[in-house]
Amino acid sequence: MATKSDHPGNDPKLDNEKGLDRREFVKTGVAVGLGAGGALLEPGKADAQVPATRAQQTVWDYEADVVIAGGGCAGLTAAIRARDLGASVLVIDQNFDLGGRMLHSAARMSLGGGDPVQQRDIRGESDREGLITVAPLEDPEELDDDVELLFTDLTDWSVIDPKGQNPYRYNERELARAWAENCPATRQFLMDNYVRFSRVSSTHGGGGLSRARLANCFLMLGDKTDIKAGTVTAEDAGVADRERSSAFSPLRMNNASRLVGPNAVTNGAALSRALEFSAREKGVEFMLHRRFDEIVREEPVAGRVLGIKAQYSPRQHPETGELMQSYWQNGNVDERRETVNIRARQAVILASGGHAGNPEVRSMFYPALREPAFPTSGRALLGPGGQDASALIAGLRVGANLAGMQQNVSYYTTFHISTRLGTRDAYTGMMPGHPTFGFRGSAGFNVGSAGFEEFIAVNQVGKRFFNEVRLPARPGPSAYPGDGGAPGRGLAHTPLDWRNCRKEWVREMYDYDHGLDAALAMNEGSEAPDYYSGPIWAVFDQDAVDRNGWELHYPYVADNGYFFRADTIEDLANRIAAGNEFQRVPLSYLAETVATWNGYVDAGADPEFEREVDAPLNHIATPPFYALSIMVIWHDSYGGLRVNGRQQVVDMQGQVIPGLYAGGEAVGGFNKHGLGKGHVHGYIAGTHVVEEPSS
Amino acid sequence: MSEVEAGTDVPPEGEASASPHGTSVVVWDAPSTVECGKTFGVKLGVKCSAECRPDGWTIEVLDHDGTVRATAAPSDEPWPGTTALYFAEVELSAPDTDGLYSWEAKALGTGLADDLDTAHAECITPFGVRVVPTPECVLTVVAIDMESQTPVEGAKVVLHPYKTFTDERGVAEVSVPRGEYRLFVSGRKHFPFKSDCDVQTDFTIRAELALDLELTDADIWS
Repeated sequence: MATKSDHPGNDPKLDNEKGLDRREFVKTGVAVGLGAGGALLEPGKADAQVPATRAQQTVWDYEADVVIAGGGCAGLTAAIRARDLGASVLVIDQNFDLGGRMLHSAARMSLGGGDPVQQRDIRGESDREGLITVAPLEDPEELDDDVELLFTDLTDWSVIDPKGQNPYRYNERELARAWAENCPATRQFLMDNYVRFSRVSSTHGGGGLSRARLANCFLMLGDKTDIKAGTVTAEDAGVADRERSSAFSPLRMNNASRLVGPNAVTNGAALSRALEFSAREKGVEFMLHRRFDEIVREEPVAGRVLGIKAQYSPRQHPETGELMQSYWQNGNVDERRETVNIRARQAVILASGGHAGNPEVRSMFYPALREPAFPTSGRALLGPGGQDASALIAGLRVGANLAGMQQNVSYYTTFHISTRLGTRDAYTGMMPGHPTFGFRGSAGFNVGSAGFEEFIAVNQVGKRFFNEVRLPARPGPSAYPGDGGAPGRGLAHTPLDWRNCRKEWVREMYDYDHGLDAALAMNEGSEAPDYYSGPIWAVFDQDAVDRNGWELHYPYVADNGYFFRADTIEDLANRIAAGNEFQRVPLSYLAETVATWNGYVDAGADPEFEREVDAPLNHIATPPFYALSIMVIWHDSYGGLRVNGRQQVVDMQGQVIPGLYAGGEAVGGFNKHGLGKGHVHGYIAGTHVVEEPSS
Repeated sequence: MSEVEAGTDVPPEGEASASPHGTSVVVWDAPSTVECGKTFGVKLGVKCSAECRPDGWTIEVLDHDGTVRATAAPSDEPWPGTTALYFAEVELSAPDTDGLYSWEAKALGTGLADDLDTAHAECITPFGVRVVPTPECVLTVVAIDMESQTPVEGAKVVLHPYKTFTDERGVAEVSVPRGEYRLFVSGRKHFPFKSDCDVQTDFTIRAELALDLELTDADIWS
């Protein structure tokens, strides 16, 4: 179970002076039985202090100075920041645990602008605890950064990536400026809240090319998991058993010895758990299993934002059926009514993530990805409410504008084909031991890119659609004229230089195969009105298993509709059709496709896709026969609500919506991949919400 | 392999079915090449869609002229790893002239279904027989991991149509007629090494293979 309230070494105590108490939480109404810091207004009592008509119709169940929808990278950072500045803070999250996508991330955070870890590495110093024992990895000149250079990088019109797209040209300038200015302070803030950063190494997508700005968050392997001491056990880190994850870290933590020193491990748990620990310690309150879906404003599209409505979204353990519990529980408000209204005395912050988990919304950008067979990354961990566009949808209802929507399709690896086969939740490496593994059913089997030469890939009717060897290929790293510079690969990149996008250069560095697009193409099984392309399958035989030593057993594969074995190809087609929830049509062509393929192998040539140019061809002949699902992944979101440099949401007349802030993937106009975007947004929002008048 | 489309496998209670059960024939373990006139073995499997036992069934191998080259009865036990694929092993003689021949394996639909008075459909599966001339040269491949400079055992070596695997020393020998070939050395988590070779005499080629390291975030997002 996820419950770890008594976890060794972690006993965060609520600071009663800073924590939300009943008096602070409730200005009006009668409080009735809730846990520490929570407050409930008696049902039926309207809040007389709120003047607007909408408010007069709303019965508030809870209130706090700052209400945050979403407990991920932006939400947790904003919560701690606002709490530090004296606000009472209530965070709601649709999941059973905190961290959102941050928890299953790699904890790579690109900030910069002369931030404290860049400065530390320039000086050649260790961290303040002395945990870092390796020398700086980047030359001082690659770390010599400032806000102006970072801002220039973030708005560089000239940069074209290997897919021929423009990562920086369309960024909102005010947003980019504010982000650049707040990077150094955010890095320090995170370090002040138990986050340990490694040596700086290279850069990160969307974070600018001119300097090295990326550091990993880490913990040290130790005898107990203790956030204050910066240690984690091998079991909690998932390194004791390669087939077992922990409730602490859904993914196995990675070796960070190159970046830190011996016994250092890194991934999103080192970041997420540190911030969660600090937030709980400082008295931030959390209401989990609670999906935000409506913003309450004085008038539908006018006046202040007063609070939110949120629905109960219980996540039950896939095996026991019990309500799942967060890793830590101090500060949790146990509320199970269907709907609650939560008043924000000062502001609401929308940090509930993006829209990559909502096929209807993402189809605005790539209609073929309305196909629900392909979920967003980390679906098992986040649940069905993860990345569901809740902030975008609710924001639009109260008049918010959008920004950077086209940037969803201008980050070159946002969607890709996973090399992990045989599981619908193919982005992560979660193993049994984490309570959500059951939602995944199988960990999937990572064949790597090289493994794609071992099978044919077929669509929902059983036809091949692309050269399999090129299916998982992703664009190479960004490279620029001169020495191909980017941090770690030289520094010859010159910002704002027209040569960066000279067509001859773009032609030279262009690097993209369209296997993903072929995978999503219509086929004989695509039917109106959606014309779904359907699932795609890797089909191979026992010889492929034997020559590669593939371990096709639990937990990598399971009888869950994403892995099939059969005596014959005909059986295989029938089993897939009967066993996969998104397989809407029979694989009528599969037997013919395999027979044709075997003929190509005999001939040594693949006239359809010229695969013999890239790799050898292998018969599919030896029984039994296998099929593993291949997943198209839409990883993260880049378009979203328009905000200004204070993270205030802006309406379609260019006016700030009073009392409404947003950050992270809920926000558009900033084509920055990864955690850095969300944390700085959270820091900015948390700083400014406390300046809002208290109603 | 192929399957003859069949009607309803299980007839309504009390009725005899007029349609035969569907059957599939599988051919495997055919060598990638066989020298002119030499013998070679293949495995033949037959399966009923209703998983009937193959009592009384026969499987024939017919060559490119339709001549029966072998006849066999399926085993009593299914092939390991399958539930109802019954198999036989046969030995065949290759034609005297090199080339790619299309032969067929045919399951004769004369058997009776278990507990049902139902015939099994005849099923034919084509398979290729690659007949090659006597080899003249030996190409020795030494497969080395590029990073560690250690031998790669079990690497797949392909000079179409010739195929073999490297041994524990990372070495494989392929005997081929003189000619031009595209060499691939791959597998075991390595990207393919590719080289176009004009083979006129015995020679050795060193294939340094790049390991397919799992993509890091830096690879993906930088």
